[in-house]
Amino acid sequence: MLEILSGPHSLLDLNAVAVTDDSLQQCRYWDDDIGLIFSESRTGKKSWLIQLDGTACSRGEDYGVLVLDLQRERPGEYLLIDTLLFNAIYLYDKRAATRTALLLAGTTNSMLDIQVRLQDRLLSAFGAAVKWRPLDLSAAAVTEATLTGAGTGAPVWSRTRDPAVLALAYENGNILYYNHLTKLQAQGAAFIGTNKDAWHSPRHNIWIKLDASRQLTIHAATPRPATLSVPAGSTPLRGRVTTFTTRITGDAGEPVADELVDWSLLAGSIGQLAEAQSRTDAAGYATVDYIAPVTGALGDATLKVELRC
Amino acid sequence: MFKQIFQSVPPPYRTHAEIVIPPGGFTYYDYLLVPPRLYSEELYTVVALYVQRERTPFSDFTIHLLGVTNMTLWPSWALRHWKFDGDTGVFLGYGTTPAGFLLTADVVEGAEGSLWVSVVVPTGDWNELNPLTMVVDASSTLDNAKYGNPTAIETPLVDRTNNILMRRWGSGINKVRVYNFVTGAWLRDITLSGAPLQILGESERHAYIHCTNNMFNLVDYVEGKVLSTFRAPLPLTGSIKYAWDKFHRRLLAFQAVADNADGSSASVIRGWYPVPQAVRLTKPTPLIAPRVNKKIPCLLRLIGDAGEPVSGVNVAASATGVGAVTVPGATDNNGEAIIYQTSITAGSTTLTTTAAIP
Repeated sequence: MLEILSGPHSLLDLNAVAVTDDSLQQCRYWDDDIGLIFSESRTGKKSWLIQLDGTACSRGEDYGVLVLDLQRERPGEYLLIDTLLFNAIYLYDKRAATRTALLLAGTTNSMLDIQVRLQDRLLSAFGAAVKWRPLDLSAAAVTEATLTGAGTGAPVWSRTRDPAVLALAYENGNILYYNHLTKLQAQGAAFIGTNKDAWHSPRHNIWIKLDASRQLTIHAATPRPATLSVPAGSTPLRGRVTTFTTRITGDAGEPVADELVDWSLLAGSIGQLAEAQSRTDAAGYATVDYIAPVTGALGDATLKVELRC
Repeated sequence: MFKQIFQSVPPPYRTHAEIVIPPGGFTYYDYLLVPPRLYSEELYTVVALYVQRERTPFSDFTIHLLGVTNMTLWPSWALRHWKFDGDTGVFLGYGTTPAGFLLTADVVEGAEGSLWVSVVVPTGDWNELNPLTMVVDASSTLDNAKYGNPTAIETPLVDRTNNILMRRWGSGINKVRVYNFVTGAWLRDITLSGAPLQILGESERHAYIHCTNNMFNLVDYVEGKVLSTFRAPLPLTGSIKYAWDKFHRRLLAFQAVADNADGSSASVIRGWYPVPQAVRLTKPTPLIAPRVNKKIPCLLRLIGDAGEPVSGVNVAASATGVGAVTVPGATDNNGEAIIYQTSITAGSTTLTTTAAIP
């Protein structure tokens, strides 16, 4: 699982009163500029802005399903679908927490399956199927890709640091990546634990998870190391360099990138290491070169690898 | 929350002897005459609050407060016009009281400083009010039907410089409608964060709009954009009027509060610069997994009471435990600051962060 950095934090307003919520999924979105936009139901008529530590401030009264908008020039913009009849989609002003211009009006429930607006099409996902529709809604949704490792239901889409790649977080905790230009599943996967919604923060490269008990937990973009494998390599030969590899994985077997591991030889070992420290790559592997002695007596060498958390 | 930078004295009430009326007639609101009360009137509702350029012994600006008082003598109510100095807030005297006003009158200020009055009984039409003589210009009646609602124009803002009339859509609707002032052609609607209560012209194309959820929106009504959102500085209770002081560029408000025990008014005009004050520094959140000897960036955000960012503030940090070292930061345009923390041995570290608010 992605390593927990902070939390869980209850959602509390400035007077420490809990924020209640009966909103639909997707009526809330993490935004790096302002915080978590959180609609508290049509009847509650409150749009909250919630910070990473759960601090909630009332900002407006608008309510609706938020749609990731990649069509506008500035990153971090959204559209809003009116949830009364799901028949109208508006531009959304996140700083005022209000809808602005009406983009498109349709028939009742005609916009239930809009989750992302791209330059050339609308995207949605349900389970493993990623579907697209034309921007003018002139045709029904058609599957354009099928994802491997998907959860059930509608995922939450997030931007990533790669403009072509979007992250999808499912309620069961699975996180997948999708390249909307190539229309193919992108490399990588992660697990954040069961949630109601989870969003990636491209600016800070962290994940924000909202759980069913209405608490926020902040996760790193990398899993917490759970397992460090025994170093493996070929049999050393006199005067040769042998590469040894270890792999760090999380509790779900996922690779842990960017961790420093310390290498050393135990007392009595012969030969030497080319370096004392290395860093895991994207697949979780870290390597070290062992240099066997050119001359002298043969003997044993015991290699030690440590990960200091 | 804003920083308060102005406060006036309360508007004075009149004693029984000061109220000049024809002899005879009924008495009303007898409780006003029960000791320790000394005054024969009390504020019932606020009608208008606005600022005008006018030389006083202290400054070049006067603040005008129009309100209706209940009083003990016939006809049991009076429209009062108090004038205060724009700099010192001292009471200067009484202004001219418009004739013919009834209890339901409403006065709003145009974007260029004109005054407009609506007397709901009998017509509810809006007419321009001469700010010096307080005489209603009968020829200036705004045509209700021309601006989209034959019944009434609700809470208008007249901007003749930009040839615009903006009004609220209707009770409970989070929108204002913008029209061409001369032709009445509809130009645009602007969605707000709440249903509008009051519209205050801020500059030649901007207006502050106070909403029923006690939020303010600053809108550019020429472009049709909401520029910022913040919480009103006063709670939404009792009779209240806001005004934008174009001369000092500050937000003013008069809120009726309970009178003092002797019957004198305790209500004052307050003024604020509309710059958010920080109310909360969020807890630091590590942005990468903490590890020994690793410099860990921790994110904080300094926010006002509407969650708006407060920028340009230094954030200091200190840490206890496991030989921790910290590096301070400063808030950016999003109110975010990053401080750094390093621990040289494994264990727990407690970070304490503070922001010095000027």
